[in-house]
Order: sequence, then structure tokens, then C-alpha cells
Amino acid sequence: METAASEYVVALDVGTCRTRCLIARMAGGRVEIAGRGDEASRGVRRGEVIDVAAAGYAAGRAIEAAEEEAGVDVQSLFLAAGSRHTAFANNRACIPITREERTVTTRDVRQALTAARRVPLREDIAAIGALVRSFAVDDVRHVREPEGMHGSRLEAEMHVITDARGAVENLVACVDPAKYEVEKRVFSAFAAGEAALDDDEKTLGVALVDIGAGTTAMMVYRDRAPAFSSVVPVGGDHITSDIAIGMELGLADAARLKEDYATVEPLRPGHPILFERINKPGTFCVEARRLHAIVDCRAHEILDIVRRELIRAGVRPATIRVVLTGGTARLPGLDALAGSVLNCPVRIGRPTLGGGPGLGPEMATVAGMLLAGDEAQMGRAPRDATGNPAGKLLSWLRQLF
Amino acid sequence: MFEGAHASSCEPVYTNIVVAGVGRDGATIVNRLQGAAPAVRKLFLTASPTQTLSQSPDLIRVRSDGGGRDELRAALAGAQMVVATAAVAGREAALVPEVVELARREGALAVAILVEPLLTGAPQRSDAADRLTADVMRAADATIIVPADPHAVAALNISEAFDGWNKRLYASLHGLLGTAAAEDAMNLHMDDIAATLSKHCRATIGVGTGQTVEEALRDATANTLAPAEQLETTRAVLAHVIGGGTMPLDEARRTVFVLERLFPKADVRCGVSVRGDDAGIRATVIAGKLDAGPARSRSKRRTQPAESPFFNVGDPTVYDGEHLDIPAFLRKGVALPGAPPKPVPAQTTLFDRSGAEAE
Repeated sequence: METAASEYVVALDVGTCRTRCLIARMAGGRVEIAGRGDEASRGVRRGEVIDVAAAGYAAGRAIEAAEEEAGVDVQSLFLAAGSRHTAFANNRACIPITREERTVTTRDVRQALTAARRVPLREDIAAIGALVRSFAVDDVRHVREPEGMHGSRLEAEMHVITDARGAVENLVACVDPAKYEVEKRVFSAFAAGEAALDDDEKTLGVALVDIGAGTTAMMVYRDRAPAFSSVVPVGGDHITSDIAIGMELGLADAARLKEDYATVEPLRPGHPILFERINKPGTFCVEARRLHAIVDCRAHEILDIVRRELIRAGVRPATIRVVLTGGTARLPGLDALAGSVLNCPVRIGRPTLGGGPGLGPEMATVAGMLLAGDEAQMGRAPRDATGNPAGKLLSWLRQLF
Repeated sequence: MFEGAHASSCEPVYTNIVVAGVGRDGATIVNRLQGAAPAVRKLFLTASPTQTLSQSPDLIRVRSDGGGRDELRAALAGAQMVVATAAVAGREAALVPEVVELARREGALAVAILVEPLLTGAPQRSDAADRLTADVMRAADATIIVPADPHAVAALNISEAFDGWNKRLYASLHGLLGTAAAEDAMNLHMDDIAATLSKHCRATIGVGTGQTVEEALRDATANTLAPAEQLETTRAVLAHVIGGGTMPLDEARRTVFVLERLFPKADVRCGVSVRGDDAGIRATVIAGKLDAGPARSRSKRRTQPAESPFFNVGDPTVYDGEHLDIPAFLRKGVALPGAPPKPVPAQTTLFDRSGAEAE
């Protein structure tokens, strides 16, 4: 088996419901998926690893499946991170430009960024990422590329994302250190945003809402800069458990009912749903209006929590767009319902890799990691910032973390 | 929360305890144990009954010709713990080794309490007392020797001396029996007492009070029946802390840490009872294995105070005060239309979501 050389990028997402691995080959600026692994997760609850051995088993199986399909031997990978303990800090640092010519150099930028990412953290908190927000040279703010500008003071602001150290270390422990090296941890909502958002949305203001099975991760962009990151421990699994309780079914039956029949679209009069239960003989009749009421109630609540988080982020939902990703975003009618709850334009984010076929919203995180990983690994400008020097800087910066 | 939680997690430590007073002095001690726990059964053993005991139904005459042994065996049958008390200088105290031996054969935890007299007697009597003590220690699981209290001897008059001595003795006995028969002690089991009072060891008891657990434990440690310096060698300590319903949970949790600080070489065990609403805290400290020699060198893992309370009911998913693990329709009071799934006849046609007939 061929060793995964530098033209391959490997991304692993250990989720509450599914553990996914993608291996992509970077060919001529295109991202070609070479292998994929998708395994039912074990030992993960609400986005946190609670059984390292079980979660590691699922991760190993997913990686091996992707390796087999790609025909390469994975050595290092990018790992999605983020739990309900995720927090962020927009940290600023300022350095003086004391040279006689008062021109900002690459070294000044590097010093300012290094200082800005130094956020004092408690021992049990770890940084999982740091992204450049903006620069300021003297009183000129929102500077994207300060190098070459004239001034006496350079200010850098970074968006530092943190998580509970234990949660991060447990996640990393799922990857067999004897076989694979975790090259970088990437915040899941940031990764999903890399795959599902475009530049205009980031400039105008957008909230990426990644609704997974156990958690809902959010990242808000304003002026192309990350402004807010958050994870709330609610997701599609809550819909499943509500169905199980409301319908008096087992979790497996409830999951299948949700997958096949759940919707939050306006209910049309129709026939009852007939389905066969697992390990139960015969056919069972489910009233669609009952299922709709259960799912609609929980979906409303999840979206209302998103609305409250956006208010906490300091943005009025009506002034931004919302892009939904994650497995729960496949729920029919969720985008329309989100539009009415959040009172803003909402779309489902379907990632495309290098002009290839579109993927489902549940693949946004792992696909975004390929893009982020590609930028970090290849050291070239981000896909969406070709020709923009800020992209080069961002790419260089990402290698620092 | 504290009271509610303990109610379902406690059971009596011992349900059948026999306290045997051997000889006249032992019988006097047992007779004066007022308000002992219901699980405690009193028994009087003597070779020649005194006037006051002659009518007692709990009296067994154990004679040197072998008489009374069957009655004694029957009285001890089924006992889980037997406490035999006697004045070490008394003639009838020679029965104590036999009683504790019999108790051990019956499967009970055998504890002997030997009381030294305040006033010493003739040298021959002292030698006999020493031999008796050695015999008892060989026979019993644990032997508690109540010495002639130095504080009492130093008292101004004999009345004060006896008062202080008696007070300490009876408080300690009550503490031992109260701990052994406790029905409401959390985290306390028979094994804890058996492990503390085992291997033919010497032991001691102390009772103390205070406003905090630390105060109560320190008071108990300072008021044990044995001299304080002997406590330094103890290898097993059991504490029973009793506080009112207002006792903060943190105080209860601190018991282990205070004990570990007071007895760094000992294995510590503790139980907590909540009774009434008294603000004060009462503690009984039972120290065993006083003569077990120096502790083996071992790497002891210190426990740390837990972040969460003792009785954590789970880890609910809460957002803005909403318990998200409870179905949304239940929390919001949404009345679900229709009924849960029902089985239907097999010939019914299947439809998909749009209402079209499925293949």
C-alpha cells in the first residue's frame, strides 16, 4: 500500500452518531476524494468521548475503510474538535514600530500575531485553534494585509477557540498513536464553514450552524472575520429520543422513523405511516401528525437556542444569513422553519470539493477539514482567497497551530 | 437533598449485638448503659450473683464445674458482635477469655473491654491482671483497655475522679455501640468495623463534639480511653460522624480528609448519620491495631474532594435552565395528537411520505 504522501490530506470527524474519515488527493488545485470511511460511533455522548476504547475502535475502522478505498497508508490526519465546553476569546495585542522608516515588516506581523494568540488559560483549558480577525495600523482599522503599511503601532486581533483539555485529549486518544499522528485539531464549525460558506457571506455576515447528533456548533463571521464560536449540547439525538418517548418505541425504531419519515414541513393530509419495527413482527401504524408534532416541537427549540446564541454573539439574526450543516440539516423543511424562527435567510450548506459532486450537509465538517488541511499542508493560498495576500498570511498562520 | 439521599442508601450495621457484663463490675457497667441501641442485648455473667442481679432474666451463672456453658452458648448464638466487659482486677474476669472465644466460634466479632481499677492492689493481683489481659488479647478480635485515667487521678478529690472517669467510659461505650448498631449511617458497613477491630489487636474509643467535623474529630481524638501517644501507632481508624439535617454536605465530605491528617499511617473509614436538626456535630473515633507495629511502606493514593456532591443524580443537559434531555413536547406542555403506533393487519398497503403507494 502506498504511503500517504504530502498530496493527500486525511480528515477524521469523531461525531456523536457517525465517525467519518475522508482521504483527499490534491491534484491541480482540485480536491479529489480518494477514500472515505463511515462508521457508527461508539463511546461518544453529546460530542464528548466517554469511552476511549470504543470511540477509538470506530475511528480505527473508519480510517481503515478510507485507507483501503484510497489505497494509501495514512500517517497523519486532521481531527475535528469541539464540545460543549468550547469557548472563544477575541484577543488583541499591540507592538510598537520603532524603526526610523516606520514600515510594517513580516517580522512585525509575526510578533503581533504571536502576542495576540497568547490568551491566559486555566490548566484544564486548551486552545484548539486561533484565527486572524484583523489588523490595525495606528488608527487605520480592519486592515487585512499590514505588511508594507506605514505607522508607529501594529495591532493584531485573533479569535482563539478553546475547549476543555480533558475533552480534547480524550478525542486525540481515540486515534491510535502507534499508527497515526494528529497533525492538527480543527474546530468543527470552522471546518464546516470552510466547506460551506463563500466569501460574500463571510463579508456580509453569516452564521454557520452545524447541527450534529449530539451538539450544535456555531461560528459567526462578520467582515470576513470570525467573531463568535459556540457549541450547545443539543442535536438530532434529542429528536430521536423525543420520538422514542412520544411514540413509545425503542431508540433504533425511533432513529429509523426519523430518518425515513420525520419532517418539519407543513403537514399535508395524507395516509398514516406504516413501518416495520426492529425485532417486532408485523406492521405498525404511526400517525404522521403525532410524529410531526414531536419533531416540530424539538426542532423549534433547537432553532430557538440558536437564536439565543446569536443574540449572545451580539448580532441581530435578521441582519445576517444562516447556513445549516450537519446531519440534522437533512431534516426536510428545517431551512424554512429556521428562516421563520430566526427571521433571516437560511440555506442548507452542501460542500463542494474542487468543483466535484456536491456532498450532503452532514459531510461539511470533514470536507472542510480537507480544505483547511490542504491549505495548511501545502502552504498555499486558501481556495477562496486565490490571489489575495491575506490568504497567504492566513495559510501561513494556520501552520502555527 | 442530604436527608432524602441517605434514607435510601443506609442499612443497620449490626442488628444483633450482645453486651456481656462479666462479674460484678462488668455487670455494673452494663447495667448503667442507659438508652443503648435497640439492637443491643444485655447479658450478665457471674459465678456468684449479687443481690441486685439475682432476679434478672438475663443473668447466667457460669460455674467452674462447667455449669451454665450451654446457656451461655445459647445466649450468644446468632450474635453478630459480642462486647464483653469486666474489671481486670476482679476474680470473675477470668471468664472473659472464655466468653470472647465462644463468641468468635459463633461467628461474632468479639470485643473485650477491660477496665483497670483506679486504685492499684497487691502485686500478685497486678500480675494476675496482666496475665488475664494477655489471655483476653489472644482470644478476642479486639481488646479495649480502659486505664486508670491520669486526669482522674490528678483530680482534686475522689468524687471528681470517679465522675470524670465514668463519664468518659460510658460515653465511649455508647459511642461504640451506637456506631455498631447505627441504622442510618451512610458509608458504614459491618466490614468497616470488623476491619478496624480485628487481628487480636488493641483498640480504643473516643467521643467528641464540635461545631465542625474537624472540631468534633479532634475532640474525640483527645478524649479516647487510651493515652494520646498510643494513637500515633494506630493502623486502622473508623469514625462515625453524627450531625443534624443542617450539617453542610461539605462538612460530611471533610471527614476523610481530617482523619487522614490526624492519622497519617492508618487506613481510615468513616460513616455519617443525619439525625434531627441539631447544629452541633458529634463524632465517635474507634482506633484499632494500636500495637500492630510500624506501618508498611506503601504508596498511598490520597483522595481529593470531589467537585460534585456525593449524590449526583446524573449529568443533565441544561441550557438556560431548560433540562434538554426531557422531551420538548413534555416541557412545553404540547398535547400530542393521535396515539402511539399500533399494529395493523398485514395486508395493508404501504405508503411513502408523499402518500404515493410504495413498491
